[in-house]
Amino acid sequence: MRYEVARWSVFLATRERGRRVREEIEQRLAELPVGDTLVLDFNGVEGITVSFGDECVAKLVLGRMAGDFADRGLVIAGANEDVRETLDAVLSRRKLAAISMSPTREAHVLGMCEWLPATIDAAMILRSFSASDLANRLGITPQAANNRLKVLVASGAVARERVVPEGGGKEFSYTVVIPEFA
Amino acid sequence: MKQPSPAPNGASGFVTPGRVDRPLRLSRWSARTIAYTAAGHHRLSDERSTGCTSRNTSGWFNTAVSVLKLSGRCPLLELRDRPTSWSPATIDLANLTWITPFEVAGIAALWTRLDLEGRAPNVVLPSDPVVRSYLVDMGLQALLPGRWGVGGGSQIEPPWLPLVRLRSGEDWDDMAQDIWPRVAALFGDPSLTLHTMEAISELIDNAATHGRSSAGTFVCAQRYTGTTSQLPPGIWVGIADAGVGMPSHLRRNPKYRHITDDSELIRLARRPGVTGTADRRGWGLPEAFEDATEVGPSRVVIRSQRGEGGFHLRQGQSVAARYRRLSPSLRGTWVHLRVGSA
Repeated sequence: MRYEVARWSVFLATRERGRRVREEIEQRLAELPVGDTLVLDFNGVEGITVSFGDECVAKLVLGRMAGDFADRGLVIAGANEDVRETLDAVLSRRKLAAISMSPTREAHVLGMCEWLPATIDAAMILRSFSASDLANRLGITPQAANNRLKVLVASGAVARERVVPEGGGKEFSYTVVIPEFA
Repeated sequence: MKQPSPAPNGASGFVTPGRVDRPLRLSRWSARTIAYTAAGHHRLSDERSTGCTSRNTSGWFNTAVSVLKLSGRCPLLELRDRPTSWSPATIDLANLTWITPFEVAGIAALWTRLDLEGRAPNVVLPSDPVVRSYLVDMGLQALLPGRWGVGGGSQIEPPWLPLVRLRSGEDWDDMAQDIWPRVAALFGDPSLTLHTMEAISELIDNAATHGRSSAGTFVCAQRYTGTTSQLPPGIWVGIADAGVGMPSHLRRNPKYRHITDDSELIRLARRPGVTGTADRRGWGLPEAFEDATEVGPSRVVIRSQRGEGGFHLRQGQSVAARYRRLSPSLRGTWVHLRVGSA
């Protein structure tokens, strides 16, 4: 499913508008089946202010860090260089990340980078995995893998579902939901 | 500014609304004769030939006699003469010779705030027909009562953005769709267009979001080439609200509550992360400064409560800032932005 941001305006200016757009996006996410991905389509948007970007996208990702819509994906597409730069800035300031898909189907990290690109690469190879699978793949501790997965889920690249393992108890299963790689 | 002689009224010696219990007469002042009635109000009889004086809707004035007299060129932007009150009974524009968007937006916010408080000032219209005509083009006449006449008589190009009153930040978003192509046509450069829109929008968003003024936020803009105006060329934007004021907003954050100097808070507001909210933000104003710098040599003036910051922005150079303390306290925040050369 695609959400066309440009239907609001070619230039998105204020926090108030950012809040309204975010609320509408959240409504669309709520209607999305588990495991599906919502594409935030910025085609036609010439520019956004940091206030709009922070209120709309950064707070959306922040909600995902808290577990909102963690079982469905979210990616950004069609963003021009200026929009990507603004989103990169607002996400970095909050130490968050999101995934932007280029026209050539490459996934780029907006916001906090550091270990995220390597983690996404590992996730794309695994496709569907547990935290311990990722930890083994990256050679890190399960706790470190869990911390990275929290950010990965918030970024929208990976969806998380609660599963009951064979021995009982609770655990999460992670699935890459970036459209071209899911 | 010459003050009228105070009328005797008991111990204070000054007339206050509703407290006069006998007829009073003031001495002659500024070619007008003011007669007080026993009700504590007075009726103005204008002895001037222009007949350009306006009255409030009831036909009566407040007995407070403060006058905000705006004369010459850019009187509010330059603020050569400090007013005695930002809640005047009369706004005197008679001797105005040049007015910028900063003055227009400021007057609009001031008048609207007082009107909402039931104290709408009387307005003495500009004597200069060219100035009067420009203010009609700017749309101020739609707000301030009076026999303004017609527009179209100004020597400069029509206002780039006539006065608008934004009830909320989203009102600006709705306008941005139409304004974007106009900015794009003006600059012919996508990057300059974007930076200009970002600078203006962040300043407006600040006013609309944090000002929380029931009067709304007033915005207008003019493009100057400098040929007629003799002013630095560029787009000049005026943004004014009559809300809580930037310093008071920032003091909502416990980190800044102890700072009593309003100009110091305006200085701090330029730093990233300085906010009056509990949220992790405060980048709008620094971004606005960066965007304005990207467009070209720019100037920003922020005036709020008892403080003012004036900033000259130029690429590759540190911001040249000047701060001053002001009195009396201005309700709300007024902003002047001049971006680049157009």
